[in-house]
Amino acid sequence: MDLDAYRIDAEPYYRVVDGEDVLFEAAYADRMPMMLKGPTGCGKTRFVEYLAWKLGKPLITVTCHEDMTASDLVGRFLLDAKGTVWHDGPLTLAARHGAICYLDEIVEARQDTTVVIHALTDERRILPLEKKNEVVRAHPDFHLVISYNPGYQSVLKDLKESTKQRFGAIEFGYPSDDLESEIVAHESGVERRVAATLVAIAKRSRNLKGHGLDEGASTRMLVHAAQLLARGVPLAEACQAAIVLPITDDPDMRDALTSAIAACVPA
Amino acid sequence: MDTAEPRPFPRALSRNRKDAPDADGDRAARRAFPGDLFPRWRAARDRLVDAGYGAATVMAYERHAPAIAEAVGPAVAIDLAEAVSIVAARSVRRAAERLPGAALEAVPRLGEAARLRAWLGFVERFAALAPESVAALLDCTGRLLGALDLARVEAWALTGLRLAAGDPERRLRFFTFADPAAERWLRREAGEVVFADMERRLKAYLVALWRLRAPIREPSPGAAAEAWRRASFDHGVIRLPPSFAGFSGPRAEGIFRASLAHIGAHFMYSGAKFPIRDLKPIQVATISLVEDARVEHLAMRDFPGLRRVWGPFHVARASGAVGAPSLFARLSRALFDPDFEDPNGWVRKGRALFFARADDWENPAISREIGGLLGNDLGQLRIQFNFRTHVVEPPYRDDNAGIWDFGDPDRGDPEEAELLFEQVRIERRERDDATPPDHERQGDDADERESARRALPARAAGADEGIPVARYPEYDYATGRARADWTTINEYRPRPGPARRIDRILDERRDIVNRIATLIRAARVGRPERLKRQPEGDALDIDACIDAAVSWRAGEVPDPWVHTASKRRHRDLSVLVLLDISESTKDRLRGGGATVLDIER
Repeated sequence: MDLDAYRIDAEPYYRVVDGEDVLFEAAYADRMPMMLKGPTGCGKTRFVEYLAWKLGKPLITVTCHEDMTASDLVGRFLLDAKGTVWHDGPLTLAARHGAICYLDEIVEARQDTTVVIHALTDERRILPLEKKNEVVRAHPDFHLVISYNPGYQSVLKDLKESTKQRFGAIEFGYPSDDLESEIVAHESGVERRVAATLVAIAKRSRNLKGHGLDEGASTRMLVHAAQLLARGVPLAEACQAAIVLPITDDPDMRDALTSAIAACVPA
Repeated sequence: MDTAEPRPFPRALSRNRKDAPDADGDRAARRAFPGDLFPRWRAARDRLVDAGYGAATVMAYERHAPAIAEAVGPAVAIDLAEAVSIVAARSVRRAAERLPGAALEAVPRLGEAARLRAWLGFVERFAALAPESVAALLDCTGRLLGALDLARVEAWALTGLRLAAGDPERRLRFFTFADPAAERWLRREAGEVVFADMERRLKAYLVALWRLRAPIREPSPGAAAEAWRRASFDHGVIRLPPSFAGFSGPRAEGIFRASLAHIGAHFMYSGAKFPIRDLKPIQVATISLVEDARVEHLAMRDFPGLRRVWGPFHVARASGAVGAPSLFARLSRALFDPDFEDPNGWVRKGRALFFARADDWENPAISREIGGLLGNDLGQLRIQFNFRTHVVEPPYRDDNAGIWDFGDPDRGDPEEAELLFEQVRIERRERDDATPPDHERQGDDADERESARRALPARAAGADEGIPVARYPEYDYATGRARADWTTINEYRPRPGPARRIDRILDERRDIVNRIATLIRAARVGRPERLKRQPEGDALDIDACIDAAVSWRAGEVPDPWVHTASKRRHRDLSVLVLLDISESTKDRLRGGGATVLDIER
């Protein structure tokens, strides 16, 4: 089957921080399943896209959710005029044809769904399709990657230990100030000094993590704010729209964050 | 000569009053109480005479009632006599004498008879609760009603009564405004922005800027007057005044933020405390001023927007009398604002010295160096400096107590040094004071956790009373306000009791036990579990539908269970039982002899 639709033609912008690309390529060489851990909006998905492009492999992305069943991953029979026809799910597609399969936000899926990946993530590298009575042996190029946000762990939503221990992991965090400024400037087109101000603003919100906020502002939020700035929206308004209002509904936190943002802006 | 038994002198005086009233007063009264109302008014006045409350009380009523009648109507002016009588009976004579005048003072604020009646009712109730303080309350009628409406006056008075906890002397101190709490609560009732309103956002602001999680509190009740005007910090604890006099609305919010940001700058950029040693008070003040400027510049280097936070409070003019307070304010502004030009030689020198060392601002020693020089200069210029009245300006800046090490009090001039930072001595006194229950926490706040674990001093704590581990604010329903640091949490180990009592309770209260168990079961947490291949449900199970279609095409009977349904999967909860054994649980239930605590048991 032609997976050209899943190939990434243009190089996605990704700023390597600390050799994570080398680590991933080493893991890929052995097709070691990889887990990307980090807060929301820090570049996990962009990283996978970048590596898929670099490795020249098609990338099949699945955004996991609570209603996802094993059939959504593996495949199901569908009915057409001729009768019942089996359709491979995204996981089967990737395993069969040698793509990188990226399960994004895997903890959102139910644990009885995610166990379907177990046979693919150990030495067997097989995917049994009980309904078809078929065992798919993974293509040599098949590689499984999942993303995982540790901040959302709870007793009710977490990976099983038996799942976690099948993966190597790369920890993603927010890059250094200079790097993050560079990323924000590149993605939005604003000047570096403006991007630096936004990064300083983000750090104020990240200080509040666990002290009124569940998460600080992500790099993605900074890019949004910068994009608004690039369109001529004043800084205070852009930060309200892209950072303060989405991140919290608590009026005290909003006030504190707004005041802290104001402190970052040159007089 | 009258040979009848002589009447007591006061009664004789009163009798004369009734029989020979003042003619001018009568005319005024007849105007105010026309027709049938005049006899009613006279009768009310005569009752006061007969009651023997004294000529002064009667005269006060006679003098003020007509004016009240003309303002808000004769009926309430007549009824005022009854209020005077009640207050006289419950309180002291002076209060009864004062009431008519206070009522007249209240009239323009209250505006109508019904409100005046309400106010009189309030005074009568107050007289029953705080007889010694009625006169004091009446003396500040104009001030109270000028700032608050009647409901808030009552709330303020109730606060004073509760703060005094039944002590007449404390009540009197409150209602004469000798207790700073009275002013504080007056401002709070007047709706001024107070610390309690801003506490949460201020704490978050400090965390956001510098990840600083220092405790932020109001001054202790026994703190010196200065502590209520200026922020302070020491031993990692920040004290903010409950409000800043003269600042309301957004400006009040602004000064709170400015104050906290300034203290945050000290936390981040001030080094070890400066030893007082042999420094003169004026040098202490100048060094403190330079240090304030130094840490602010460092903070503005990281957060340039803080210039907008602090700038509006630097309002000194480069002119006027050349005295210490003026020069200090001008120098503060000169060091802060690069565009501020000041012709004064001392100010210019200070500015030149400070900015010449801009590359060295990281070094706290330059504050000592430059400030010491400038303090010396002022001394040589014979500029009078009164450390007793010195107040740090601008008002957002702290009192600088936190940057000084007072070391050995015998060294130098301890009186001057201690007077300059009065709250140091006050804090020391606080540790020694006996602390009756239900009052603001005393003790050394140098280590918040440590002081929370220390037993209240000078009070023999029983074995059951435990040790205080935390203090929380509490909402006061009577005044409609949150009370900071009002509830003390004591942790203690209860004595074990007989287990058979538990069994007996479970047997006697089987119905309640079952009900609680049902409630807990119903409250269990769990994720919805999707059940497939159900006979009915909210959605179709697509796999089951396909299987059914396959069966149908194969000529088999399809399985009709093609739906999905959701069900909560249970997970056990841990349960914490919170038992109210507070004082109010001694109350007995209506209709039975049992107390609330009996029922809880």
